[in-house]
Amino acid sequence: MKKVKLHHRINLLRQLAPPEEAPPRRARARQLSHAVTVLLLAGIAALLAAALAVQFARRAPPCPQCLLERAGLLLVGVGLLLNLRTGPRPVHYALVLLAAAFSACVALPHAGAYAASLDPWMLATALGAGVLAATMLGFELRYPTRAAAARPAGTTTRALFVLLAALAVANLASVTVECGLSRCPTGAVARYRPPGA
Amino acid sequence: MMVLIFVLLLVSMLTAWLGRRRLTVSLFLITLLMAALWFWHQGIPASGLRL
Repeated sequence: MKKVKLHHRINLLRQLAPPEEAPPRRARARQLSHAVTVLLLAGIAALLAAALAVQFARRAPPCPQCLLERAGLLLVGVGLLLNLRTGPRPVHYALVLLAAAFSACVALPHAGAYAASLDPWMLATALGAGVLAATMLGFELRYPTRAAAARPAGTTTRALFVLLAALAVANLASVTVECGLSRCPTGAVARYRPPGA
Repeated sequence: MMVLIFVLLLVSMLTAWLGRRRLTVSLFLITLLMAALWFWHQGIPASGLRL
């Protein structure tokens, strides 16, 4: 009797489950995931490069919170790189979501105080990355693509990785010069403040 | 501590490129935890926020 009931339940579940996904839709979801990942990585790299350029142009070291914002955005980049190298998975989007939430939390108090600096852009990028990661996480759960192997690294992927790694090294050098192995100077906050802010 | 955060970040970026998924996830979480601790102890007081 139990077996019949179980069989009946399985049949019912099969009827309720969505039909097998057509391969083109899965392929489209995969293409979309790749495009979003590359777009986000390019945006993060451009913003971090702009932050470094502003830092050198003003000859002012960034404040510790600004360094933390950059670290958060680089962490978003790590999650996206995982997506590119090992294929899209829900856990990668979850990591991106975590890092984006952290970045937004750090950037939020700054964005209002220093509206003339890059902080509002940092906040907008973090929020945008979070929203896109949440959307892609939904897509990934609905149309799972993890069965497919990761794409081989193309020129764009390699260029983005080299750019992000170079930015991470430049930021590490900047942090080492500014803070060393001790606490970062809090006076850097005042030095970072843009004129007129 | 900030230097250590960036070193861990760089290492996790390299492991992500090498395709070491579990190692990258572990390093990522450790880095994020350290950054959050730093923010809690130094970043929030320095930014003038009161929680």
